[in-house]
Amino acid sequence: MALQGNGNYVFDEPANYNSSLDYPASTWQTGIAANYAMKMSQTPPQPTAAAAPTEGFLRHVNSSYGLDELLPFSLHSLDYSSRENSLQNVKLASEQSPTSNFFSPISLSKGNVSAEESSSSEQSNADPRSKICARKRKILPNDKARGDLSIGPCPGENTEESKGKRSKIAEGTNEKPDLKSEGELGANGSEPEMNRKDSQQNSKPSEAPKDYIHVRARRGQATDSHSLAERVRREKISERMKLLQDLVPGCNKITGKAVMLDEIINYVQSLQHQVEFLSMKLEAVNPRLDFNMERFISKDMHEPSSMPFASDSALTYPQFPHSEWTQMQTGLSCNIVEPSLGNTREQALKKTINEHLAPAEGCGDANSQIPNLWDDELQSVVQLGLGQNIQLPFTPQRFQGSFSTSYRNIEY
Amino acid sequence: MNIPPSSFRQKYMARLLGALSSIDRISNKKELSLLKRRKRIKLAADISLALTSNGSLWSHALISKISKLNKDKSLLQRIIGKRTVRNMKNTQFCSGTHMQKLMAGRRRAMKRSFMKRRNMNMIKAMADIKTCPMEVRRPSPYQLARSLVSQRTKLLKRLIPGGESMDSCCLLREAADYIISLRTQVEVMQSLANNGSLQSRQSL
Repeated sequence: MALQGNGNYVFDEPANYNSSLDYPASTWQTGIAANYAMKMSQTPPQPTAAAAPTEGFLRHVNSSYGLDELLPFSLHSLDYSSRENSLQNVKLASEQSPTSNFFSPISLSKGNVSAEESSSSEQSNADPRSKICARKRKILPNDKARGDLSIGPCPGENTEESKGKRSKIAEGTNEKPDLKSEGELGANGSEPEMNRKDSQQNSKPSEAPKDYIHVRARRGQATDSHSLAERVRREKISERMKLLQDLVPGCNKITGKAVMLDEIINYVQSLQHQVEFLSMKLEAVNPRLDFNMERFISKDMHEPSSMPFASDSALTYPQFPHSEWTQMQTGLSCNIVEPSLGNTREQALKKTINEHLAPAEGCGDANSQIPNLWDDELQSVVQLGLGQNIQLPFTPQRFQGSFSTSYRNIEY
Repeated sequence: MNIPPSSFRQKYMARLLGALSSIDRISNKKELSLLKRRKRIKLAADISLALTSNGSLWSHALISKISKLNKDKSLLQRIIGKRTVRNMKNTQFCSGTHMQKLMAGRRRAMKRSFMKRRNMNMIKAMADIKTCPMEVRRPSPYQLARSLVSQRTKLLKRLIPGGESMDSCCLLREAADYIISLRTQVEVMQSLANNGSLQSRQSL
């Protein structure tokens, strides 16, 4: 997957996810394949013009689906790269007009599944709230930016999600007043609130900060303080379950906590296993000091999971000393500084890094024996860990398949 | 937007490479066995993941857990992040106790309502059992569902670092965070491993 400018992940290897179907019993893998198949028949999304050139992961993509389509709006905003985007969007929204900019990321990609999904998720968040309760987020006095973010009750809850992972500390502190207010709910909850509870709650500008959360009792439900607090808690949990439902692919049809939790557990376990296998593979790959780190930095920046046989210019590059990782870092920093790297500039970058590497060439000969040593170990490790079908050459989809098979071998 | 936002992946890639280079620097002279090397690589990967996703509960917990487990590998940790490790340790202690206090308070508040509801369910169940004595005593569907959910919540708590001291609400959010970071980790490591190994084969 590659990361596009607007924070969308770009999937470029269909076989990656098709081979993941080797693992039979879990829904999320079929979900990945299904999503991809669905996406194949659709037009690729139009990236926002402003955001596209700013990221380094530019590549021509035939079929792509943005992170939006796997993850609707509330989770898309959890993505790191979109944090600033969403923060800015929401800030603008609070300053200018409350609704127009808040929904602008959705309206921009109108013709997309992502738009439908995100807008539907937005509306689905809005509508139950409009029926059930009007809630105002307590605004922290010391956090002005977050005060701007709390546009209204329903978006207030979404903006909490939309701050992105970087502002987790702020969110953590937001939990505190939430808890306090829920404690105070016992005192205030019994009186029904006169707040507006329909769709106008989205268009409300940020009101004067109040010290407690108003929750309207549902029609025909108990107004007991305990049950209200419980209901608030349950709604939170269900929101987060929805979030997770969109994270774990293939869980769209699952209704119910228990099954959903099961899927989540399976997914996390499989991801952790994958990390273990990859670390094993890295360990086998790493001591090979003769390979070209710089090349795969630039490859990583452009084509993270592309086919291995890309270009022949790699063979001409000199060998590294053992400090190849630091060289990689210089290459990496070069890439980060110039994120909008086109093909022409890639050549220039390679040349400059090549010049860096030239003086280090002399040290490379001493290490030539080590690759021979590791060659046999690599073969054995590969066969042990990754299954029989991984031989030359490594390709991403085969590797993915081997993960599933080896995972399956361990499990059963 | 003046500065283009550097993505999570780029940051993680940078950190991971730095961590892996520090492994090489440490084990410069001696040849490490496969197992040790693998452990160190996994350590580097995990720590760099936790450091890049700074600010979430699980990252703090992961770092503190790793630093507790590997006392003899403090060299590695120091190279990965000198000040950050110390900061992490300090903040972890603070946030740990704080979180626990919060959780205790919340649990107390919620326990009352839960006890009420559970008692109601129990009473219902007992009433059912009493009215039909011939039937085998089986848990009501609510109780069954609840036990399933609680079982799986416990599992999830074990999976996610630092999950034991979270209530289910926080747990779900941390799970979402964790899943995103794990995905990124898998992608980055995959591209590293694939491209690296390919290079070696081509040059051979």
